[in-house]
Amino acid sequence: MAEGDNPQICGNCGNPIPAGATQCPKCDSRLSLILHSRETVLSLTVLIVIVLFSLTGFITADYHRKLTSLGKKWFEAGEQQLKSGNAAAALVNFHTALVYSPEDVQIQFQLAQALAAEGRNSEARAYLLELQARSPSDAPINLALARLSAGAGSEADAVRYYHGAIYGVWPSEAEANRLNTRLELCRFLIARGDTSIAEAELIALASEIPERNGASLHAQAGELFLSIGNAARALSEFRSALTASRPPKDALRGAGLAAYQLGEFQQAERYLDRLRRLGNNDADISRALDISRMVTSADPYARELSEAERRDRARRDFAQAFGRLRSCAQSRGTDLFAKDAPQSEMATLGRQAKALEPQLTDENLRRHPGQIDVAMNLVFVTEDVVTKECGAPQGMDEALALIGKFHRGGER
Amino acid sequence: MNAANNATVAPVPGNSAAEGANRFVRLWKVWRRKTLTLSEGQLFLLLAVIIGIVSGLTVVCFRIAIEWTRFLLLGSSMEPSRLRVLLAPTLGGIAVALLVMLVFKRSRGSGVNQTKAAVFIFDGYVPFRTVIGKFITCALAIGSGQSLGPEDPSLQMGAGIASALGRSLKLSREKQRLIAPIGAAAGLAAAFNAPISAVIFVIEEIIGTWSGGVLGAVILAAISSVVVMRNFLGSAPMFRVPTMGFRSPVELIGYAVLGVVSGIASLAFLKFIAYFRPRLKQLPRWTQYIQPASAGLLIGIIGIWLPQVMGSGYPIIDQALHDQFLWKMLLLLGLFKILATGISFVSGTPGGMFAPTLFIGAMLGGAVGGVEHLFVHHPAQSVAAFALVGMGTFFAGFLRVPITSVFMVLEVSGNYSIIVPAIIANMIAYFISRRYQQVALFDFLARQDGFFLPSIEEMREHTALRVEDAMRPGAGIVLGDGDSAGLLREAEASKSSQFLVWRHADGWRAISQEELRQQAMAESAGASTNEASGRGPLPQLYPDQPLDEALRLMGNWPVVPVVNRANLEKLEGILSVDDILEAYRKS
Repeated sequence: MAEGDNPQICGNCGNPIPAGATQCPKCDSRLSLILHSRETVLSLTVLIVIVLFSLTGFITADYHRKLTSLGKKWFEAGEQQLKSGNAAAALVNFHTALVYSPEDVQIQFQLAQALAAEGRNSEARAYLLELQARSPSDAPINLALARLSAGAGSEADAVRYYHGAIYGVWPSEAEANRLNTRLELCRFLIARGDTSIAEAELIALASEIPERNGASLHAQAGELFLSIGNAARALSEFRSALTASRPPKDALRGAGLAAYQLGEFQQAERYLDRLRRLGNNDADISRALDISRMVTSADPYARELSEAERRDRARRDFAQAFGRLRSCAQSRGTDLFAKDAPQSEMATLGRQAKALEPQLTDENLRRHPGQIDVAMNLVFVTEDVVTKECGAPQGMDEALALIGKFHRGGER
Repeated sequence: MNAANNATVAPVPGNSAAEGANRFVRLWKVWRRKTLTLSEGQLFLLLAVIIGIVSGLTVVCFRIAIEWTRFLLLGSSMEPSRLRVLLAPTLGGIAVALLVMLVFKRSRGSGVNQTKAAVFIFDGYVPFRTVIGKFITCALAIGSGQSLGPEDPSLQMGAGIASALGRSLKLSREKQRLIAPIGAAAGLAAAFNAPISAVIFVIEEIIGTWSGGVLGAVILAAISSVVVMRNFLGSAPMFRVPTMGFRSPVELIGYAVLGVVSGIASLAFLKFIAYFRPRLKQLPRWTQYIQPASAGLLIGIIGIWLPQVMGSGYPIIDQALHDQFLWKMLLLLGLFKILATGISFVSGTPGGMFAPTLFIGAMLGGAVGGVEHLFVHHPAQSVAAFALVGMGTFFAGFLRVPITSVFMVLEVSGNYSIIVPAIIANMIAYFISRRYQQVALFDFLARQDGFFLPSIEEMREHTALRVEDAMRPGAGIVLGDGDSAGLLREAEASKSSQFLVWRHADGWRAISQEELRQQAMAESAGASTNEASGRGPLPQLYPDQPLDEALRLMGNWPVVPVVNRANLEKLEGILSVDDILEAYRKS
């Protein structure tokens, strides 16, 4: 009615009467005479509605098919782009796919992943939060949110979402995904320095790893235990990993290092030696292996040693420590045995060692086996003091220091 | 045997059959009248449902037509090629102009105003040709990328369908007038997928009053159409609103700023349309063939850099609600959408302003939210909340429908925690727009088209005068109980000649000094002693009654008492016709 004439309206039927006409042409028409009854008109209207309904049904079915195919087409294009690392192009495709399939959770999820890959974390988070609000127990959504929160440094949120993923519903391979998620949570906590919570999570993880096909997870859990200083649990995990028919390579290395840290030098030697024979020439491994060998060859407290061997080892260890003491004193220009030598810890040790040395004959030690402990205690104290004065021990001295550390730790 | 008897009774063979048939027809008519015939009120409600269903079906087909046109002209990509972006709206504009100028002449203009014109001028008449014209031309215009929306055309198509059905069923003139808004509500509800907002919009902008006679039918039609629409297109909202909420009262400062920004932007948009539309209409007629195409070309040029401004823009609103744009981009989109929509609309391209209004509001809201985010580190959802509130705010400022805008935000988001910010921002935007643009959009569009339709906004703001605004408080002398001689003495002590008396039996009555004197004389002459009764009972008024109602109740009484509703004996004041006229003069 924006433009044009203003028609005169028929009072009977409500239709406009053309200019110049005296009567309403609609009221006079034959059709109007047929449709004079309301019931007839209503019945016809209902029939027309049914026809329109059917027609609209066909049209919308075709339209939905088209939308579905377009959504799929753009989604697949987006997935390809995302796989090829082109997150920016994937984003455009996912956005387009979402226009045609706005309720498709998979598209929204992939869109969020593409946004996160582009570094647009807040946008990704907005999508993920909406998805999570709709299905709070969806594990992949929780995991994606956990990763975003972890990236943003929000530990409380990250832990919450990681737990949501661990205890949530996975579309497939639920057990493996839960374990991997917990492993990821542990790594996140360790990286944040929150070792106590990480240890609790690791213990929970270790208890859930299945016996079959769990070698890799055991090895990874062992690595993490090792990184937070729990060598005992680490060694246990590595041992579990090594029971597999095809154990992971890292399991042997981890087991060797865990045993080494625990003072189980014979086991460490065994694991590390196997590793070296498998071709691993890593410097750390070589050093640990050498030290382990030295410890096993020098430790007078080792089990199943003959008394003669024990005495021999004690005398050799004493000579080694006393020699290091003298070298250290020499390097500092100090004569340990001079009468006017200043009073010092090293001088005292030197005098004690000099006094003890004549007593450490094989015969004397055989008669007085207690002297072995006296000699070894002096060795351990000497190594400690010389380390303080002249720096970290090397080679056999390091081995003696380790023997002292674990022997005295065991006594305590 | 019976047949033989009948044959003897009936002298003319065949008459009995005819009589039987006639009797059957009479019985059928009686039965039909009693059981099948609906009263007009019943028919009106049934018709509302049918209108809703047909409008819903039409809007479904209309939306699909827009989408098919878009696939055909712009392709399915969100970032079409430059050639398509330039050519589609331009060629679409040429086709639309030819159709509007040569075939569907009434398809131009605002559907809201045409529906209002049907209600207030044309006894509910909306030509059905307009429905077809709007369907084709708007699908072509919006689908080719013109920056317009499908809601206003849907509203008008609904009104047209309702009008046609009403005429077919030969409704009374009163009902026929009301039928167009019912269809309008159905069309708008289906287009918006928001029945409550549609009902409120129709009441707030088209009908103007909460009339009980039409409200039920409007609601029925709106709900029917939405049910039909959801049946075919799904119940998903126009855009997915993320989880959000109002977190801190400090955020209200940001929402107040949003109200100011939206108010200023809506004002600028209104001024743009008010300035350019009449000027373009005044250009030679042949230019109207090229105006939509020129608008399309300009929009295409904008679309090369900002394809988001083309079409209705619902997917882009969805992205803005999901924090997909930086605030600078949002601001840019908001400003260019104002330009693009303004160009499309003033060029005479048929299409609605609702969707672009929501788009602009969402972008400006998101931009304000983004800037606020720089200063106050709220969670990301707060930007989405600003975008959502922004939609309602710009809607309130531009279309000047504050109640609809608040309900729309609530209905679209389903989130009631956002209501306080929405109300504050909407009111600020509305007041800015109202203060600096006296005439509302639909009113000045109607006036530019040569219609002086009632301004619903002015009707809304018009305050009705009440009895308390006109009465003379404390005036009127009330005489107490007693015989006439006593009352006469009381009356003679005052300067007035007219008095009021309260009688428990029949309320307030009027009595003059002369009447009292005559009654006293009669009593002194030996007549029985009665209470002075006077004339009455008088109609009694209350201070809160509207003045027009008081005028109807007063009858021929020169003065009537205004009494307290809790105590009818307590006189609050008196009211005369002169008092009422004086009050109207002063207002």
